Amino acid sequence: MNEHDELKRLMSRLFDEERLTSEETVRLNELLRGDPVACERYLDHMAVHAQLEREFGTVVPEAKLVGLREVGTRRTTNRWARKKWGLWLALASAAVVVMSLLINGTEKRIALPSDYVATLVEDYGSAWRDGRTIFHGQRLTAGRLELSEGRAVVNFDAGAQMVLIAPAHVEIESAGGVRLKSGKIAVRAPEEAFGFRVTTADGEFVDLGTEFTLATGKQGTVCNVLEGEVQWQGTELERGVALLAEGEARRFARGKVETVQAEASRYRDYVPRLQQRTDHELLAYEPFDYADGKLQAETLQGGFGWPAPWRGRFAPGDQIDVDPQMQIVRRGGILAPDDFEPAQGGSFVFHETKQWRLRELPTPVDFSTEGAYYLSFLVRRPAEEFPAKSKSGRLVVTLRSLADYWAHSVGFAVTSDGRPVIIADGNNNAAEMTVPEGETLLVVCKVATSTRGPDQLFLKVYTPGEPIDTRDPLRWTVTGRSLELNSQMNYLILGMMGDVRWAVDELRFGTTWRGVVPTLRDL
Amino acid sequence: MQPNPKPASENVPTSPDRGGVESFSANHTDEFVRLLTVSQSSLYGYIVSLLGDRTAAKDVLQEVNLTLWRKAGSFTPGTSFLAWGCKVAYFHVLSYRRRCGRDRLVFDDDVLAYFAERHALRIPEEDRRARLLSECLKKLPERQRSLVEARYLPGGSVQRIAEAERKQVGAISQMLFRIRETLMICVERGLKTEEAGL
Repeated sequence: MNEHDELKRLMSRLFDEERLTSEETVRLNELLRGDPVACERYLDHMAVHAQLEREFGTVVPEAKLVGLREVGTRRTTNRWARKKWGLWLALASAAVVVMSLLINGTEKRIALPSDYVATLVEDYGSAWRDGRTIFHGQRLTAGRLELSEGRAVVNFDAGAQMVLIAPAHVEIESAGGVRLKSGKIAVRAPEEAFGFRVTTADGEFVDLGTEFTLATGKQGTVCNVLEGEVQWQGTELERGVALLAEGEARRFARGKVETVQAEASRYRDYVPRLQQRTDHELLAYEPFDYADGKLQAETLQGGFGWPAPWRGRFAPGDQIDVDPQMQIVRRGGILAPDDFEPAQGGSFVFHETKQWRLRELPTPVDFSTEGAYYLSFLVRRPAEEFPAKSKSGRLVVTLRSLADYWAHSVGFAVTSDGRPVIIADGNNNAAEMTVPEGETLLVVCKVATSTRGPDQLFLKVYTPGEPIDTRDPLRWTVTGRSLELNSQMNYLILGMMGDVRWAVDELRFGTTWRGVVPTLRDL
Repeated sequence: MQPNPKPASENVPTSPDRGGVESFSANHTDEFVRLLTVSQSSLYGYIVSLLGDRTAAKDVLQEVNLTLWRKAGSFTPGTSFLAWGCKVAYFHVLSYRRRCGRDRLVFDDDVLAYFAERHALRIPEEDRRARLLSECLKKLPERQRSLVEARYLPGGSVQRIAEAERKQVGAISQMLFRIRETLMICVERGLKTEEAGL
């Protein structure tokens, strides 16, 4: 197939089947990059395609935009810096080679396209229609959610949160929108989720940085604005626009709008209370409650849930870990956040310029199953370093398989320039922040494994004084690229290369956010 | 390849909001609403060409509409509303790309930037293209016209057509591609004819 036909095939897939594989996406970009003829061809075809969509009303009802009133002021910022076309032309061939290597050489490391748009973060007494099971932390794709009992909280990737109140039936459409088919939902869409859209048979309800409830059924849709403003836009048949202010409630039914009694409630009233965690949610805990000083790693077997004590990276005889010790410091240093469970015992401090300490997990992180695993710990980068060294120190807290140690690793690292990073088997993502010296940070890593889609990693870093979420956060510090892994990782590794005396404490491994982030503060 | 030296993003109004549509002259409010309404199709076309994703484009268009409404006071009557709208839309596309993560994006940053630049040059022709497409659609043979309707009317999809006609999805996609190509040629021919004054 020549490039002309290949471009035609890919455009056809994109326009009519609306889905490209990761390989096809890479190839489409290769064909377009630096080829003005190909780019014009794409734009010509897309113009006709989009015009046909509009001509036949598939997408955009040209609603009569009247009746709007001032909806407040909001500034938008743009920090995006446009790269020069010519610059990447020069780099393009190298990038293509790298991409080809990633795709053809190491299949397991491909960053995959992800259809995930939301996460189930909490439920209470919930039962899903057709016996479906959804666990806390599970990633959700677009599609049906039908709750027959209880309440459930869903975080959308665009930043909005929705409480489903049974019986309720919704169709998740995207990271920024949901269709309410029947029942009631409460939505909280903070400023960053501005523009979140709920569609019902009676029109579209667009958040303007707000909290609101929607209930829909045979009598129409009632929108109750708890805070902020909501814009309603009618359907193609029943056109119109209205703006609802805080404290207003209206019923929309077959093109008629009437004011109804507003609910005197807040969004938080709809959110299920945080439940006490069960034993299976916190699987292992290490408070480093040992005596002060340098201790032999194999004598350190405290905490709970761990099947074995700490150990060095390799068997005796290895040059690095001939006599693995761990330095425990009981006073000073690590301070737990205010609304976090107080730290117990001492903390582990790296005392050598290259050091790896391993501990077996109570259960492996199995990428061949559906699951969510969470790892939390406190970490501190002290101002003092090892003497006469340059100021660098790479900290890693990762998961690996002991049987195939070098094959794959996932977890967290701080680069030598102080940036937190998701380690995702070569597909690493760095945060924009820099770890401050002398401050204790709370780090939470989430690994979401799936048999029905790619695996994903998430990282949240809390600085001192920052409120700690009680459930999966709406905004992660870093969201990792999607991966396809099948391995079982059964060891936790604390490692350091460099000259910074990193301190680590309050290590928790579990299956839910609340299992490893012990704060009793609710919303 | 020589991209337009003045990217579409450079002239985006950066002045603070001046109070949304209320600060826009009352006499001009109706005109603003009209412009916003008639621009919906072109704005959608612009956004979907940059994102390559219909659902995402619909979400972003909602955001763009709200921003345009809020920033109505920044719009200068008599200038191109669509050019202004596309510049605002470009920022929203970039914002969407930052939010949703790289693995859900169809195009590289630089392919996207090039598309945005080239699309900006097409804006003056948008209305003519839309009008010509409607005319070209009428010229299609009945069979092709029916296929386009089955694909583009609400609820239509190549999967449904393939099931109904007991054909492969790929075969239906190819037929649709050829029809779009026919329409594209028809529109281009119409543009040239009009430019030649024939």
